[in-house]
Amino acid sequence: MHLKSLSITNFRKFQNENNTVYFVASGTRRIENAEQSNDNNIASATTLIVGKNNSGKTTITKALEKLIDDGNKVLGNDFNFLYLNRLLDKYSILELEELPILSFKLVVCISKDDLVTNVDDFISLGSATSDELTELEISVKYHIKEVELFKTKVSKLVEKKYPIKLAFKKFLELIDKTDFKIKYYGLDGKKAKNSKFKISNLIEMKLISANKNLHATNLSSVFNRIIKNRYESESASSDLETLVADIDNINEKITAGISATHNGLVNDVLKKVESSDHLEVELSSDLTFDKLMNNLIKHEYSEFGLSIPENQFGLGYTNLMNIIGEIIEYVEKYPLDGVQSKINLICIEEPETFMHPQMQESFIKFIDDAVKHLLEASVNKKINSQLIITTHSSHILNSKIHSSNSFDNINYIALEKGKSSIVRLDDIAVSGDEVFDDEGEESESDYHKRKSNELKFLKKHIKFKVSELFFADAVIFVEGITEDTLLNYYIDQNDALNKYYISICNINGAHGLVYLPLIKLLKIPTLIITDLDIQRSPDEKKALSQVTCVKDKKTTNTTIHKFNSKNESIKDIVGYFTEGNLRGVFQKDQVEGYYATSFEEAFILQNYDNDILNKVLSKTKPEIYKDIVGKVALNQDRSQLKVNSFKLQKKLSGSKSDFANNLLYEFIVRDEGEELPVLPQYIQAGLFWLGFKVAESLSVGESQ
Amino acid sequence: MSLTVIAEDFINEENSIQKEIYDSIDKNENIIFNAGAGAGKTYALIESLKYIINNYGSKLQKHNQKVVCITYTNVAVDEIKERLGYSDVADVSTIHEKLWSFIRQHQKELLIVHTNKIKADLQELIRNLNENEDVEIEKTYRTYRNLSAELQASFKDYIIDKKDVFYKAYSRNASGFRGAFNGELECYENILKSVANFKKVVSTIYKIENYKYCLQKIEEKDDDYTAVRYDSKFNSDILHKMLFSHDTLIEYAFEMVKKYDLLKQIIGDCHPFILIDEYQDTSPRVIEIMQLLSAHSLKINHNLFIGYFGDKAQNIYDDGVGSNITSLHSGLRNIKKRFNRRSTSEVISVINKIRADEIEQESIYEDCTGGSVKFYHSQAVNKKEEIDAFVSKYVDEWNINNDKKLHCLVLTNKLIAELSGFAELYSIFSGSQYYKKNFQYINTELLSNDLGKLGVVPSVLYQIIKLKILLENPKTPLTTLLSKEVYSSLSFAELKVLLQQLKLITGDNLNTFLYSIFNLYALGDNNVKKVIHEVIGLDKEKLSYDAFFGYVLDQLNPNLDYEDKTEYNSEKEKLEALFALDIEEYERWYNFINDRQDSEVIYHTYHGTKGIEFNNVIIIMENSFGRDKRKFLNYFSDVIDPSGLGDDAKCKFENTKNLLYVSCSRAIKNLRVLYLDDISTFTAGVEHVFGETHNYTSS
Repeated sequence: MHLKSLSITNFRKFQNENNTVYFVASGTRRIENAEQSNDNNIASATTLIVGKNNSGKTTITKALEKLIDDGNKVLGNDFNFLYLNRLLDKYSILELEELPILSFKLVVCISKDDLVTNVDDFISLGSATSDELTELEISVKYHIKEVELFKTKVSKLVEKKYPIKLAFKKFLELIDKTDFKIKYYGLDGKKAKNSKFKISNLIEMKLISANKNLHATNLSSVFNRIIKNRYESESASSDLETLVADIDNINEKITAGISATHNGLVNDVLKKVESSDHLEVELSSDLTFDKLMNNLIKHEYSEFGLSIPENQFGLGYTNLMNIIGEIIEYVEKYPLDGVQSKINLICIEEPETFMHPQMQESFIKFIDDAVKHLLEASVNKKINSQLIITTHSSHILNSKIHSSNSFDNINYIALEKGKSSIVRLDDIAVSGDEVFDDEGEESESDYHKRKSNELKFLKKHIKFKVSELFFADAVIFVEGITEDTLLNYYIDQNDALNKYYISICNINGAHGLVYLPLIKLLKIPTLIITDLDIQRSPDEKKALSQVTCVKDKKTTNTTIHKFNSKNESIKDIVGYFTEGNLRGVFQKDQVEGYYATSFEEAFILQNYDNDILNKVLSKTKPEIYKDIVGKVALNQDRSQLKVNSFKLQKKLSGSKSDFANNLLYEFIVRDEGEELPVLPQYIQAGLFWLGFKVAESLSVGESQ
Repeated sequence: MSLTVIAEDFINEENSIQKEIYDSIDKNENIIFNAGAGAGKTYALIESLKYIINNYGSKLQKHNQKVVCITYTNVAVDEIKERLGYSDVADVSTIHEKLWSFIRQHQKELLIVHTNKIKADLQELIRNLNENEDVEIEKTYRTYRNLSAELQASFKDYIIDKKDVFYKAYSRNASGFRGAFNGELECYENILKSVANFKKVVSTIYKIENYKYCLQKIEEKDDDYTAVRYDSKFNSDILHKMLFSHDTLIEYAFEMVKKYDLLKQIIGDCHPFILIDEYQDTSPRVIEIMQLLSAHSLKINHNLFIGYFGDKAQNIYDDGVGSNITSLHSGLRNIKKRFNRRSTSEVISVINKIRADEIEQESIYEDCTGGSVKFYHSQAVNKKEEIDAFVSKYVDEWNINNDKKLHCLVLTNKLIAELSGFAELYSIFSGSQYYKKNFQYINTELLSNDLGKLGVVPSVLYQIIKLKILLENPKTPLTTLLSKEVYSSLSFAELKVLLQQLKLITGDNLNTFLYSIFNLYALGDNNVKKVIHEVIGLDKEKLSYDAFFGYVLDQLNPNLDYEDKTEYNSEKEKLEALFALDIEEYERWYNFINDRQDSEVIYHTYHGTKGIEFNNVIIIMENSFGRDKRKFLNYFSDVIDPSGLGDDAKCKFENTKNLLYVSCSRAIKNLRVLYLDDISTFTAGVEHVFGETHNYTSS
């Protein structure tokens, strides 16, 4: 039995859209593609929940905890505030029909050996006759217990016409004081008949939270518990008996010693005060199995042959050991019985705490090895647990992608206008929803090969980009070193953008396109800065002629092709391309009468009269610069730069890096009054859009 | 659109009536709230519940007390819950459910009541078997009584040993039945002279044995005999299996409440407010229970409020208390409401004339005109065709479609069965000895929407058809079909196997379906057996086709003379015909019972429409109703001046009046009556109620 998905509605960060987390099935699952297969069972069977800070990762574990807790208590701040705010708006015009409801939907998969006693209410005849696995839906709703009383109180509250903020606060207080009741619904929203149903009977969750204070003897206590379990397990019952007998012996011995020496003395004293008929003490040893176990294990690390006590050891290792210890305990405690009637979740919250990056990178592998070993050690056990890890570590994310060689089973939590939304990643989604076009030139096998190659590329390449993509506020894709070098500087100067974490990825041409499906999924505002790449005939190239009209011109840029529905003709391009969170910009308009084909050309056209640019050009390509503007320093005609912009860009193509670095150097060392070159118009427009988008995506939405 | 603007002084008056109720609630003064059809009784009830929740809710929560609202069907329960909004403090349930919750905790005391009931029944059985001098009874048991004490004893032993043979042969004809015993009964003189009497003797002996065995087990405190259970599924008791049904539940609850003061206090303390909806149809025993609770609460000075909401003119069940309530529970404050919130003034004026008592309704709306009432009569020979033509005329005239349905109340059982597509089924049932003799019951026992009122045979058939429907629907919840006991130890794979086996039950007609059930019962594993046993709910001996056939034959023809070949064959053939009916006919009956008809014209019995309202209503009526060939004829003849009627006639008149009142008051806007008999002798009476009469001819 395993949990397939959990949908969270109106609870904390989530509202009623994009609110479903998907969990991977328990147990070993081989990766389908044989070529990439490895024995890594845990990595591919781990559900990863990643997201930035405050994006709602904890909401997911909190939701599970709340469900398992079975309590009826619901507080105002358990609700999504935007949702409550909307309700309050309705109440204030006396529309009292909609009541605050927290709801959760679980999809549970049952396999053939499972007992159905814990989910009987949710099985229908249809679901019990289909093939291998059967899915059930369980909805858990927290309803208001006394609707009539609540409505009366709410009407009284809104009658008072408090100012908005105060009214909201009062509303929260009102909800705090309102009683809720859990109800369970099955198929077609039918209420469960069995009033005894509880989520805690169905789901068992081990929450390993690394952030909880790691105090000095933390690990020892974990190991103590493990050893205690060992003794208490059925197989060790004779060992336990022997041990208990030993303890009794010890008690006897000590008691004998104590009573011989101390009892008499104490009682003599007491007798003086009170007759011994009334009062007599007996001292005895009271060592018990539990007491022994609780203080049994001393945990030391061995380092260079020396034993180092626990409290002197690095927090990172302690954390890792703690997690492994908890897992060992979990496995040890797991009943031998092969029959399942429960879902078992192991949830590790932000394990990266205190770990250095390399350790984080190997984390999944560590856990994998540990669990694999444990399973080998206890052959009889059929562990059926689902491992869930929440993290904001790009390293752990990397580790997951690479050790399982797949994007499957990653839940990314995106923040959009203050709303958390869960994005379910998998290989298919990440490689794009493009369908095979049977009218295109590409054959079907080529299509599949290309797709699989693209995915392979993405998996390899993303290793260096994970943190940029998953944890940035916005992303800018550029196609060359110059943009890459200069944009960072400009963004730093830009007040609308410099407060955000914006990553700039320099990915050349078509390779950038591979990232697009992923970027779209992640919902991060993304700007693609590409080039018009005007196709010139060999003659035109030779003549280094400038382009003043693009009516008959084509572009060679693959990104533009893609967005312009594979159309190469420049005159058909309507404007910049926008698709949801994506915008592509390029040199679509003339600058100083000419069309630029690249960033450098546009930059030169835009700033032909700028001192810094001129300085850098003369420094980078002194001969060519003099050729164009004239040799005599005082008589130079900078406007010649405009007319020769294409020539300049051609000549610069071998030394773009120099050009960029020289510019950056001059930017940094420039004098007070010296004017900074401006970015070409299309980039300015792009950045403006990005600034707007990123602000929008991070704002809380409607104000409260 | 009419019926939208409420007259201001009327709303004030209505509010002040509601305040009277609140006042009584505050003063702990029991009330009886009477209001005519469409007066907003349920509204008053729900507002009262809200008042209690708002003013006493926190107190109730604190003491873990509830306000109880008892209503008549599960449909009504759901409607009230829906209108009230979710509440834990309010406990809305049917009377049976509630009574059961009152007494189920007290198994020790319940066991005493149960034991007494069995003892009393047992005594009666023994008396019948041995000494009751009643002529009929003496005749039945004579052959047995004539045996010597020694022979009686050996006969008992023999026959108890032959249970299987007895039930297997049960439905055979006399000679076939005799043959089953291979002449082994010859030593008992004339015991097999009359097969019918023999069967009664043996059944009585079995019953006595069962009861004795049960009593002994109770005495021994056997684990299976420490608790008695109410089973809402079936309409007959199986006392010796520690199961009882609706009527016995009310009886047990009454006995216990009467006997134990502490129980009165527990019920009263846990439920300091009890509101009863549609009191007029509640059993007098329930009213007695309430009266006992109320009297006791006064005695110990604990607060208990009881409110009855209803209308004596809408008493349509024979076992309902009706206007007798005041003699059973005295000292109730009477609150009346004269408004009508449902119908147009045209409809109201007709129902006022039918009602003709102290409640003369007036519409609460200013814009209450715009409806119409017309009475048509026809003497067509083919009534069914005439109805079809009449109905289709109005389907056109009123633009009836699936969103705007036409509701026909048919005051003839046969007609409603015909119109709803189970004419054959109905006609076989009504032709059985039992329903010929007890024709007045067929309306409730075969056609009632209230499952609790179904007869013994209809109830078993209902469960069987329900099994079919449940099995066919992939959305059927597991727990509806199987009991926890069955599936709790099964793995999911084993569960699938069980369901696959159950799905083998199929059949085009009831016969093949039953064969398939009993076949599976004979061959299936324990789980399958358990499920089938639970569905049919009869003793294990009866779970074979022959035994079941015999059981039904016997139930439908309690006095069947097995000697009389013609009679035996005729009844047997009737039952065979019943079982041979297409299963779809049964499903249509099932859907009718469950009010699940899905057509633009929906047919109802008058019982089935309690508490509901429809824009357009057609009532189909004729002289006869049930076995009373002159029911409406008599009514319309007496309606102008019923004062001279004798007691018996008066009672019948009231009954007909209530029936007509409930039917006509369903209409919101338009009401048509089609009377399918000659009205010339009582036209004046009809016109007194409905105004001008019209002749209808379809051709």
